[in-house]
Amino acid sequence: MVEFYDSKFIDVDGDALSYIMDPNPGWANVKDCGNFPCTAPLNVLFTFTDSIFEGSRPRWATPDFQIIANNSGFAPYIDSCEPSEDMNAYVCEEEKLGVLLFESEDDDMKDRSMQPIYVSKQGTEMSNKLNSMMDHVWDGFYSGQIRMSRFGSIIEGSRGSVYDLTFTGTPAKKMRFLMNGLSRTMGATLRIAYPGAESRSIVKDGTIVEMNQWDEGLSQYGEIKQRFCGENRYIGVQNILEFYITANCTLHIQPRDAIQTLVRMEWTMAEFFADGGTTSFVDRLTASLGIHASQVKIVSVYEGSLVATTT
Amino acid sequence: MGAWGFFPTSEVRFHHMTMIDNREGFGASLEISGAAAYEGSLIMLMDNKIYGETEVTDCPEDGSYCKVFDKSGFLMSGASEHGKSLMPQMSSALPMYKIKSIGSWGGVQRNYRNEFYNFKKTTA
Repeated sequence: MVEFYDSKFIDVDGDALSYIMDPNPGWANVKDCGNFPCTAPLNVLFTFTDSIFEGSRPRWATPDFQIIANNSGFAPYIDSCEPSEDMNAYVCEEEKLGVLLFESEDDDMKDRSMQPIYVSKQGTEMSNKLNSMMDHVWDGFYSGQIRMSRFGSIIEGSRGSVYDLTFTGTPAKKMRFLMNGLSRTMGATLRIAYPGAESRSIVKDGTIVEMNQWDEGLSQYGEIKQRFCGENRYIGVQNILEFYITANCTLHIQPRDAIQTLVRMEWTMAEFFADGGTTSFVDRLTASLGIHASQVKIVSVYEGSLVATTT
Repeated sequence: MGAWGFFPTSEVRFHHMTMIDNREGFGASLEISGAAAYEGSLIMLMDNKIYGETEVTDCPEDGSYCKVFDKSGFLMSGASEHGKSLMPQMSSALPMYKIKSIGSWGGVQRNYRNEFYNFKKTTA
């Protein structure tokens, strides 16, 4: 992300204001980026604030604007962005553009691939395909086959934005997230689907941010209201982590030593509680698993047929 | 190219410089890794004047020479985890502005009060 303030453009043609290169197709090889070119050039963001134009000027000249890459998976879906063929870029008037950075914090951060990762905004056809860092570890003629699982994605964080991050590889257990942006009010809910049942926690400033309160109406943890950076919930069974991130806020994901599950029983509520209810259920469950009863928590019992949601 | 620096530090500032007729533009790269990279790093270019086309043409009418290149005022700056030595020892180390290392976590480039003069779609 590159920020310009109080820039002055004197006799600068609109077509000459910038040029953003496409990723080199030649990067798509085992030694550099793998099956497809690295994607950093497609996710750059130039922001211009309080600019002044004199003499000949672009027809779109305005004090505040942004320039983003010709990223077919992102730029066409931002209403205020117009393509500029000569710049190989889009010119925008959207203050809530930013760059989402995230990386693996696992021990195998340089050895295991998670890409391609698709960043998609719900309600649009957006699909920004991300690759990780290029392999720069050269030992003479050979590459090191070491690539950092670090990703940058252009993002638009207007109120209500919800993005799905679809990992085609297994997501890292521990991850770091940061959203860079100039707007204080920008933010987005991010959703990550995990292939396993292990729950996840969000950590902010070294402290675990508790999940939203249980919602009896939804029969799961309350939905993300975008109230503060770090607001989160883990949707059990579906194994989806949802969290809200705002501009210039750093969050970490770490495994939560818990499995959230849902048990459906052919039983009436009356029969269930007449037979000991949640206490007996926990006793029987823990006895069969060979674990202590304190390790199971029932967060809700509801009819539907009879369902007990446990952690 | 214009002035370019590569520094093992968390912040660099280029200011009150004048660049004329540059092919690759100017800017800076930082070398910063480990815990320091997460504390933030900054490249600041401010109060510079950057000229594109000038009275000196790239192809004078007398035909004495003609060297037409794309011209850039700024080249995008960046921060990386490692760098190359001042004296490249292998062919892949060139050109110097290509650092060839993993990009750092937190590099930010801020530019204040820079002036750009006479950049055209095609060079003269």
